[in-house]
Amino acid sequence: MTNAETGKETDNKPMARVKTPIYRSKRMVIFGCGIVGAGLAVKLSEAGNLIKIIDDNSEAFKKLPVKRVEATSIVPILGDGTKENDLRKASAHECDVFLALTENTTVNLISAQIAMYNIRVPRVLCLVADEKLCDIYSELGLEVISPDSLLVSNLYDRANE
Amino acid sequence: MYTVILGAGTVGYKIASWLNSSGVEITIIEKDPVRIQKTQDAFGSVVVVGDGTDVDILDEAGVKRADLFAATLGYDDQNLVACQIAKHKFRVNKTISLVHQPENEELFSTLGVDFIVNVNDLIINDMESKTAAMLVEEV
Repeated sequence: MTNAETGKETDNKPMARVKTPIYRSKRMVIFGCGIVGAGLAVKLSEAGNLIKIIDDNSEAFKKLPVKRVEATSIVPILGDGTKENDLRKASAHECDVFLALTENTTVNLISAQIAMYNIRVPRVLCLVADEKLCDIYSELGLEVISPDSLLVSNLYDRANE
Repeated sequence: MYTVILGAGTVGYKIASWLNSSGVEITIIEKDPVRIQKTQDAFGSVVVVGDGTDVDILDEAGVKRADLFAATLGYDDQNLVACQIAKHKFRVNKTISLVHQPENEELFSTLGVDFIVNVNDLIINDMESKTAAMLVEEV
């Protein structure tokens, strides 16, 4: 094997010590502290990830377990997830994954596209409760999740058990 | 020319009456019963009733054969999604949209909306130009 830049032979020896892979905790921003957003925030923080969750309704944060919030493994941010400035307040520009999980599909879509194109988050996931919109936006390169198709595939698997 | 207008609010209605009097074929998508009635009284049966971010409703409105799609709703998210469906699913020639959050103008343009009307910038510019004279001290 040769190095493309120098043209010299590269050292092909295996590394002397292979470190055991350590699960690196990820920084994630969730937009929408509903049942889905809050539930996922808890699970992800239990797995060791650092979660910021943004919602424009402070009442919604009551769904979050107090201990997790006090330990700052889940940080609630009061703001509008369809505004770039508010997303940056939630450190979206420093996160690994952004998830738009409100109940409103069009709100999720604009927020996810702000995260993807303006803030350039490495990975963006968007909840889209409409099969036809799912097709259009996955063609446009967005990673979309449809509750209906999840349910169908889950039931399909179970029915086949 | 054929134009589909999303929303029969103040802006949508005015655009519709301007295009209608210019002899342009129009269809208006609206879901509010009062606005539907008002629009039908003025322009006849040109209203498709429903949500403009629904692919089937846009299809019913004939976006497929439209030359222009105009999104005039009060919400940026709905205007953007409607324009994206019109452009990418139905291959409409040109899209024009209102933008209410000034910082969204760039996003709309990145995502392929052809003409953008930045509502708040228009208001601010207008107010500035009208009051600018007051800033000039008389010599």
